[in-house]
Amino acid sequence: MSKLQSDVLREAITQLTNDSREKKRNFMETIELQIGLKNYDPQKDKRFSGSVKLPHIPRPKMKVCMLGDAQHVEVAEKIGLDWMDVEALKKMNKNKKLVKKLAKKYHAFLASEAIIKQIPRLLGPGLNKAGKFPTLVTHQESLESKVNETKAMVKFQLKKVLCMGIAVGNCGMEEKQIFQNVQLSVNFLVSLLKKNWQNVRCLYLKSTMGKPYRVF
Amino acid sequence: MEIAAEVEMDIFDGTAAASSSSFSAASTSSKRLAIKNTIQTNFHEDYVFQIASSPEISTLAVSLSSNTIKLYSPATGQFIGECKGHISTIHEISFGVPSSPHLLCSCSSDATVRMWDTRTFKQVSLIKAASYQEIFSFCVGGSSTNLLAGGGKSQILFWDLRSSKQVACLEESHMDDVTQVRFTPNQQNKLVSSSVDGLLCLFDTVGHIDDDNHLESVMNVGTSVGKFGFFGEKNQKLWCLTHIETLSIWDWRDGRRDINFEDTRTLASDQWNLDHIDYFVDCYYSETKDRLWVIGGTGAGTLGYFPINCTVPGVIGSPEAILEGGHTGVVRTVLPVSMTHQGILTEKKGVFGWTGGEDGRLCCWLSDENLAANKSWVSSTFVMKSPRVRGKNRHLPY
Repeated sequence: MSKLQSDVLREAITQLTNDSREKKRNFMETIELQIGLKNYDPQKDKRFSGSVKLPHIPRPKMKVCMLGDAQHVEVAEKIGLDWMDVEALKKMNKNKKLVKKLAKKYHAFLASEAIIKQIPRLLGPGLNKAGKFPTLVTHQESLESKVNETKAMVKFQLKKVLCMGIAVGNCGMEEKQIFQNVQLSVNFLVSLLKKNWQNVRCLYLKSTMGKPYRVF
Repeated sequence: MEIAAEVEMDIFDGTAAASSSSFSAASTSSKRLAIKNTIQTNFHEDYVFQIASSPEISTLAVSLSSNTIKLYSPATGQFIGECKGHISTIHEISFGVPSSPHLLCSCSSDATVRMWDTRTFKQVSLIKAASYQEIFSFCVGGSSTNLLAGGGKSQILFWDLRSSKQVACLEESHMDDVTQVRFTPNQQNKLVSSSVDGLLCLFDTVGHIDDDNHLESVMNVGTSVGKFGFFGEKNQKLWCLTHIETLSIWDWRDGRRDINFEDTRTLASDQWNLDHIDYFVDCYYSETKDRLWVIGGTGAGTLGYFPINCTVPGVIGSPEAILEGGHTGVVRTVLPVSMTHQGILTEKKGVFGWTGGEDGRLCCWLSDENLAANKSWVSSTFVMKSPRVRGKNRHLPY
């Protein structure tokens, strides 16, 4: 569908991952898709912001904590997921420092239906302020798949300038997976632009410490 | 209000009276609406952001991307005046103060909420937030109906309208731009806010408002929220449109999500054979019929009213009204006629509503297809050139 040429993309990904392998860093480099827009006015045009779920998890080391009822706590134990129950939350006594510490410890939170309603009362707005208010997990869905879904979500937001970046993978992923993540995110973002590809000036792929490779 | 109800039933019932000759391309139950007139609001490249009106007065207020608000007569399409003053993007306008029907309020990225007298076009009130702020939405209400709430960058501000003084600031419940604030319809002492951070928050606004004790409930939509609205027999439901063009239905009293339409644009597009739906403008709720529609649009400017069946799991139906041939670009606002003053319409034809878009146009749509109306709209596009002449023709009896 897209104007993104597969071979150009594949080559960029190969070069990018090779570069990363050559000069080893002490951390896993994230791969970012950088988009330059054109014919778009941030003051007049509609906001360009949201979250998208990628097919392959870009940040596997993302730490998730389950705020669960008895049933969810049991499942969390089984799959080795950190958890806290209602009692543990009540003990925090709405202490801002404790809530802030909890928010810093994890990248994201999940919560059972019974608990999620109590959070404003038990913890106050601390998780809101950290941008980490929990996502609901019901008993009808698999906790493990919900964790994976949470890890696969990436945010994008265009602020006052015409360029933005979105995480699409890491240097430890297979090239094919990076390819699929890039394709999906590009197609999704372009579908939200009113002039589609006419709004895209350029696309670059870049690893955290590497040099950018143009793909469009 | 009675006339408005008639108009609604005329459109959304299969039993429309006179000219129900629909050129039904999509399905037999979808009506293509005719345009009554089109007004070009400017000859630069300014967008129409929003159209506002109120049942008490016969003026249409139109906010433009040039930081001004233009006023038009809904009956003739005549330009009446302009409210100038904002020095940055206007995000919302409304005739939101119940006791003052001529008072138009607006909020902007210039960190102000301003009030204008629509009879004189002059600014009569100015409420300022800190200079780094931008106000994206506002609402008047509260238990004493004297509270003005404004959504800003990560903050919700409250002012007392009587003194114009700021009385509270909530800054911990959102960590990104607050895109909309609304007092709940039946209980005016509760406020719902939406934000780019993906949350819908419910606050109690009685007494001294603070972050620690007034946050009642949080609904995590999961992605940047653009707009929401109340609906349902007891206004207990919320529809929510996100910036990635998805729709979800919530019960805000219970704080839970009823329905999530994950790929809303495709679900809507599948219901007709016109161009792909690229975005949603708004949702429309008819209280008399207890029905909800989502208004989807194409890049070329065609709109469709897609009915939503809110019984779980939720279904988007085929469009019951199609507005084509009015706009040439993205449509940004729709104002249903039930929100305007009906009494002075010289023609008894039912007006369906008004739309405005990035093409700078203001379009008035008729609720039934009348070929005579189609012919008359051609001449009315010149309304800007000779408004007075046209006005005379309208009122001189032969």
